[in-house]
Formats: sequence, C-alpha cells, structure tokens
Amino acid sequence: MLGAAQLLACQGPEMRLTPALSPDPRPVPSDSLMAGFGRADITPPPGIGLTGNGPEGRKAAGYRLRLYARALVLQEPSGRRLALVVADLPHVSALLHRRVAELLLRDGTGIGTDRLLLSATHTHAGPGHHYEAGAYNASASEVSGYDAVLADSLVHRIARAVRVATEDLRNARMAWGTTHVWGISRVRSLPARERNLPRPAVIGTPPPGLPPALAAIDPRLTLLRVDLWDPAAAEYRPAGAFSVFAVHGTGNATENDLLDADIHGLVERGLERHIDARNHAGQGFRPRAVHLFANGSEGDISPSVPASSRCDLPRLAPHRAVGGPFAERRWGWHRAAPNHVRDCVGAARRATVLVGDSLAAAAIALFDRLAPARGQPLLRRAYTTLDLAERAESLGVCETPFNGTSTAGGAPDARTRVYRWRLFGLFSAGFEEGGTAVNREHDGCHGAKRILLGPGLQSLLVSPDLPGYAQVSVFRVGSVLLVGIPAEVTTEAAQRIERAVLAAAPRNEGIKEARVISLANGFLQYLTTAEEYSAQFYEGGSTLYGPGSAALMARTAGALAARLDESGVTMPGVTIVGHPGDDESIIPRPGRVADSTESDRLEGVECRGDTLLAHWVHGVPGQWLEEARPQIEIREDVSDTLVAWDDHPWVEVRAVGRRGHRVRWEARWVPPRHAGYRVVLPGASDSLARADAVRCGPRISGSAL
Amino acid sequence: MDADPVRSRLDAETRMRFRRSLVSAHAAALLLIGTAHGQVRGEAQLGVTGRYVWRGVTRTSKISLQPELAASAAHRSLGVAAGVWSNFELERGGADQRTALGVGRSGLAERDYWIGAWYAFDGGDVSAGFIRYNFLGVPALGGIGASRNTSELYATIDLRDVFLAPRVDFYVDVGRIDGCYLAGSVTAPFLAWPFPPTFSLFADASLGLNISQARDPSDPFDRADFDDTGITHARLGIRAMRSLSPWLTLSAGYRVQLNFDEATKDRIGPTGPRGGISGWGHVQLALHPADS
Repeated sequence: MLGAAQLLACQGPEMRLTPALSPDPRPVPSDSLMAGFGRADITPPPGIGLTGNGPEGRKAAGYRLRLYARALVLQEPSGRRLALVVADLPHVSALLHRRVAELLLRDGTGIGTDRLLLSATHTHAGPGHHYEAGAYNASASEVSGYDAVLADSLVHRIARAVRVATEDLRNARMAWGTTHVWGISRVRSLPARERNLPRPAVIGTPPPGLPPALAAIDPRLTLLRVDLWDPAAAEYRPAGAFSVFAVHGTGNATENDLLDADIHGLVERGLERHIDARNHAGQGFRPRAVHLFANGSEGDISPSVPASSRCDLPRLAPHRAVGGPFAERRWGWHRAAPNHVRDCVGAARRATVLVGDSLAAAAIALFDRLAPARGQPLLRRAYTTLDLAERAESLGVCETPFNGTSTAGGAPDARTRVYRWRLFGLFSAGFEEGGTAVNREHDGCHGAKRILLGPGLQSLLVSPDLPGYAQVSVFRVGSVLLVGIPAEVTTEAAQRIERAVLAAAPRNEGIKEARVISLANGFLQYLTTAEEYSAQFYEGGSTLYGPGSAALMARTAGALAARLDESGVTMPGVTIVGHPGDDESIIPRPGRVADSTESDRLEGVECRGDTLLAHWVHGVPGQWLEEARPQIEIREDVSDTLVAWDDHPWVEVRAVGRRGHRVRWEARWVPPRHAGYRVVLPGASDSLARADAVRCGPRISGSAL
Repeated sequence: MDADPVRSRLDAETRMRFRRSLVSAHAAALLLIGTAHGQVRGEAQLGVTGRYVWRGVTRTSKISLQPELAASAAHRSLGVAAGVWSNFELERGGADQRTALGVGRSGLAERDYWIGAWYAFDGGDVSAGFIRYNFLGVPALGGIGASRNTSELYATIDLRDVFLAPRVDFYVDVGRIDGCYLAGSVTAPFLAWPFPPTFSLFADASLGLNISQARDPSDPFDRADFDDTGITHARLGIRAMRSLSPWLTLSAGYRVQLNFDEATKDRIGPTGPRGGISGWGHVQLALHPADS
C-alpha cells in the first residue's frame, strides 16, 4: 500500500514506452496445444526499499524466500501464443511490462505487449524503484528513488523466464478447476463493501459460524493444471500450474527487513515440491515444477493474521537528549522497541507460514483432483491501453488523478505512522478511513474523496507523477477468461468486471468462468465500486480517477471480451509517457564482481541459544544471487541429510558487513530439533566451504516456531 | 555583597571544593558506567542565533555562535551526563546593542559546564544536575564579568510521549543569587514528512516564572537577574527540523517573546523605551548518535 504522501516527487526526465505489439502468428508443425514453463531469480541485492508499505517499508538487509518470476507460455497449432507471468514483486510497472515485451519480440518469441499478461503477487517484501510513474519511486518505501539498473535487471530476468518457457514448449494437456478456501483471508474494509447496491451476494457457501469479514471474501482458488509430454517417460507428466486467489501479500510485518516472497512464495513452493515429489524428481534447491500463483481481487482482502503480528508504528517525539539543560530538543521518529519488533515480526512469520501452508494444501488437493485431457483449448487475447490523461471525460473518469487523505494513513494490514494524525493533537487531518477522510460536500469529480493536501497542491506536486494510462487485457485460456487489470481491485469491483466480461464474451463457446487478475501490466493503485468509494476507506482514497473508475474498467473489459478473436487488439498506438525521476543507484553498482580466484569462505558457525548462526563471505555489494545454487546448505551431521538452505521460510540471510571489497553474510536458523548440523558453502572450494558441526536447536521437543 | 571578606573567601573555597568533588565523582561515574556497559554517547551542537536570550533576558542582541559538547553513559534506565556550552559573540556591535562581552568586542563571552543524572521511564525522564556559569565579559564596557559567575542546581521532568510533550525545569541558584526559577514549555509538531530524510515543523510555547530571584530595590549591590517575581516572559516559536543523515540534524526557527519583567525588555535605541516584544531567528546543526 502506498503511503502517506507522494509529495516532492518532482518530474524528472521523460520516459516514453511505445507498445510492442505481437506479429501475426506463424503456424507450427504440431496439432496439439503446447506449453512450457520458465523461472528466473529476481531477488535483488540488499539495499533496496521493501515496497508497498509507504514510509513503513524498510530497507532490505537480506532475504528469506527468494523472489522469482515464473512464466507459462501456451501455444496453439496456429502459432498463437499467450504468456502468463507472475513475479514475486509488490507491483508490476508499465515500464516492466512494455520493456519485457520489447525484449521478447526482439528475441523472436512472437510475444508482444498484447500477448503478455505480467502480474505481481503483491508481496510487500519485494523491490520497487522500477516505476515509470515517479510518485511510486518516491513514496513506496523508506528508500526513495528510481533505479535504472534495477529496472533493467528485472526486465532482463523476467524476459529470460519467458524465453525459458518458450524453449520448453512441449505437447501439453491441461485442466481448469476451482475450489473454495475459507478462513485464511478476510475483507478488511467491510463497512465500505456493505455499501454496495444491491448488497453483494455471498460467493460460495461459507462454513457456519465464520465471522462476517471472513465470509464476505471471494473464496475461489482457480487453478490450471498443466501436464507436459515427457519424451523420456513417453507420457504426460504433471509439470506445473497457474492459479488465482485473492489475498494481499502482507503476511510479513512492516518492520520486516528481509526480501521475501511472503504467503505467495509458500503457496508456489508448496505445490511445486508436491509435483516434484509425484514425479520422483527429488527435492533440490530449485523445484523443477513451476507454479504461478497470481493475485485476484485482493484490493480489500487481507490475510487473516493476528493483531500481534502487526508492529507498533514509529511515533514522532523528542529524542532523549544527551545534552543537558542547554540542549535544544531534537525531535524524530522513534521505532518500536527491539523486543517488540522481534515479537511482532516473529508472530507475522508464524501467521504467514500458517496461511501459506493452508493455501498450498488447498492448491495441492485441487491439482491432484484435476485430470488433464486431450483437446485444443482456445487461446485468445484482447488488449488495450486507456489514455486516462487525455480522454478522461469521454471515458467517464476524473481528469486529474488524486489520492485521498485516507491513503496517507494506510490500510489495516499496514498502517502508516501518520494514521489518525491530528494537527496540534486536536484537529484531524483526515488520515483515517471514513470519518474525516470523507468530503461531506461531495463536490467536484472526486465526490466523497477528501483530497490529500488539497486539489491545488496535489495537482501541482503529485498528480503529474501518477499514471495517466491503464493497460487492460482479457486472455481466454480454454474455458476461463483472465482479465488483467493494472490496479488492486476490490472483491465487488471484480465481481462486476467479471460479470461484464462473461456477458460480453462470445456465447456458446464453453466459457465457464472469468477471473480478474489484479496488479497486471502496470500499477494504478486501487479500484473500488462507486459505492465503496463513497465510504473513503483506504481503497477508495487510493482509487485515483474517482468513483467512475471501476465502471470504466468493467466497460473496457467487457468490450475487450466481445472482441476475443484474432484482431482483438484495440487502440494499440498509445505511447506511455512516464517520469520516473533521476537514476538513483539504489543498489550499489559493483565496481567489479568477485572473480574465480576469490572463493567464497565460511568464516564460522555457532549455536547461540536455539539459533544456528553462520557467517561467510560471498560476492560484492550490488551483485545479484546466483540462480542455480544456494549460497549455503545446512545438513544434519550424522545422516548428511540436506535440511535447509537459503530459500527457506525459517532461514534468514542478511548482509552484515564487508570483508575487504566483498560482502560478509549471516544466516540465522532455528533448527526444528536439537542435533548436530553442518553448514556448507556450495560455491566455495573444499577447504573453505565447511566448518565443524555444531549441536543446536531447541532442547524441548516442539517446534522451531 | 558579603560584609565579611574572610567568611566570603572560606565560603568560596568550600563551594569550589564541593564543585570539584562533584565534577570528579561525576566524571568517574561516566567513565565507570560507560566502560562497564558500553553505552557512552556523545553529542555536539552548533547553534547560531540572532540574539542570546537566557530565561527571557537578552544577554546579547548581537549574532552569537553557541557550541555545545556533551557525553552520557547509561545503564538501563539510569544515566549520567556532562557537557560544556559556550557563547561566542560574533559581532563587535555598538552601544545601542546588548552585549555580554562588552561594546566593541567579539569573542568568547560565556562558558558553562554542567553535569547531571537522569532516570528514564515509559514516556519520559527526570533529570537533575548542576550548572556552573562563567562570564568573560568586561563590565566597564557594558559586558557581564566574572562577578556575575554563579552556579545552579536544576531538576527537569520531560514527558516526551504525552500530548504536547510538556517539559518543566526547576532551577535553584546556589551561587550569586540563592533563588528559584521555574520554566515550562510545550511543543506541537504540525507537519512531519515521514520519508527519509525526514522533515518536520513544530510550534512551541514556553513560559518563565521567577519565584525568588528578584532584585532587592533597597540593596544597590544586588545582582539578581530579574526585577520582580512572577512571570518573566512568554515565548512562541516555530521551528523546522530536517535530518541530513541519521547522525546529523539541521534546525532553524524564529521566536517571538512577550516580555513581562523589566529585565527581559530591551531598550529601543540608547535612550528609548523598553520593548514589550522581541523576536529573533536561530539555526542549529546537531551531530548526535544515530536515531532509532
């Protein structure tokens, strides 16, 4: 969630992103549907801002679950391709989408902007700094700025995942299925949702006794199982999946300082490991199977985590002065006490794993139930770019994008430090949900929105750096329509979009379901219905183009669905103009990478309390992780069984200093049981890669949690 | 002035011994606590002010440089601290300006030492200590000289996490005057930019109350600071603060003071009436431990 103010994001150099549309497909020598999966590590080096929590997003010190871009490319015998990509990122910028498409076209994949549905899982423990809209580079975390090298690295890595998938294209069988998952997510803005007219219907059948906020969700977990032809086994084997479920990637607490794939990373890995086990593929560092877990209408949906998993916010107060009676009081933001941070971050971690594992179990059960069959599911797409900046009036939205005052206070998952701020402690500034965030006059296009800083100042300082465009696409994959919306869509807004799409889609062609995919192909903050907007909760305040925004998206998606044929591209010529800001070098630019003579070196392993600590030297600042292997492996001493590595829900890896020009890393892991463990550096020469085993872990049997 | 010079000298020697013992004990405590627990912190401040106003009384209306060095050592909620503060008059100035150093002079006009101890609790702290004021001006040129040197004991309660963050300071002069003074202040932030580098704007208000430091009109040698007991001044200020790095903070502000006690009022021109209102700007750079 974007926080407080996107102030002072002054316009920098202009960036022009032209659409790179797909060429006409070339028929391929196959009479079958083909599919391929790809994956690329997109974990950036430490130093970037963990994006999505506004000023509460911390600077990354290291990582836990690595971030990946996962790709599924589908191809008809006609040569028509669709690429679905889900990246473990907080958001996808139009910059990423268009540049990835440009690279893919250059590589001859035939996949342009219109055939690429690139979406984000919405982890709030991933990098920003890649937006063409400068406001988000300025305010999405405590680390501000656009980083051209980071953006470029992400583009190349995401494109590589798609290329790997195209190279993996094989005869495929697939099947769609849906299950309902209750109890792990909730509507966080229920009063706003209840304003909808007619009252939103309950989706599915919630278990009896479920609290209203948990029963009001869209519980659908929709999954596409893909089996690929295995030439060695001469049979179709499960290879991966694409699934959609609506839940915010806010399992981690705001005080978390590690890059992490959050809930979605656990669901992705859970099914991937399961498929690998079914295929007897072993359980190595990187799973062979690929599970793309896209986010659905998560705009108003939070993971159901306990209050203890949210950390106290920084507060503005005088510092205790070292100086005595003469010193001027120095004020500043005070973070919560370390003990509290340790407790809330730990509670968030436990809740994240619980939610992630529950969702993974549901995905596994659904995957196993599905029986992919022969057939040639239709692949279609329609795509457009809405020019909101130039055509607002004719599109039925407000001319100037504005954030409301409720945006500044944040959402319940992650409030910001200015939540409920009062001027002189007395007068509300509107940094809350509803209440004083509502413009009682309802004047102007933005109606109920009380505009942050006032319309004059915001239109001068912020609006020019907000996106003035929206890329919308509808993909047909067999019986399901996937609607890519570049915003965080609320449950009811998505329902309306899906109804519009289903009503407009060609009839009698076996279309059974539509699913909105939020945060696709760009980022425009939130999308609420007009009724929800009138409540001015966080989502309404962050619906930039006013109360008509969701209706515009429903009309647009409906119009696209009606054109799901080969000439589905409409209004292709819109060039996106952004102002990302100056290049800030957020991640260090490596002067030189470590060469082969500089082997990794394990410096020491110890057990402190229940925690195993390892220190080693690897790489240089700004250097990206190696994809193919872990930095460290932890093995049980006696059995030599591999029990953990640096892509694990309970292994925390931080850059803790330097050794010369190289980075000194630290890993912390609480073993599940007291035993002897050895740490090994796979990237180091033998003499430097190992240390003596240490005995570590909780002496009381139980868990490492 | 004391009538008995012998008694006066003995008193002075006793006080000096007391001060030296206090400073030595304090320095030892700083060293011991700091060494034992590794929580020694230092802070340096450098201020420039359009006028130097001490408890409402303008000591110099010239531009002054005011550096301070302080160190503290803490163990859990308890700590000890000490520091030195100085006032340099940067302009030579004329007869129409107030000066602590003397007309036509510039340089070090005042150097004060303080030592204290504090106890931190949830939401604030209390502290108490000792201040020694040393003046280096030339009385013959209208400055403040060594005869005005004095010492104070102080106690402060600082409620940082309470609405308006009130602070109350209580001073007892144990040197030249033997009287008490009370000061209170409140601060309200009204703009705070949450993204680094943070920036904030504050309004503050303070009030000074002279309890027993008024001059005795019947004693021509009384060197007390105020004319009357009661409220000496009320002050309103606005201050902007920007963190330049986690260790460096720049602040600037402007203060307006309503003068109630005659001693706080500046004469407008060499022979003009005394003013009821005064105002001045100030800038400060603070080098401090990294903020949490």
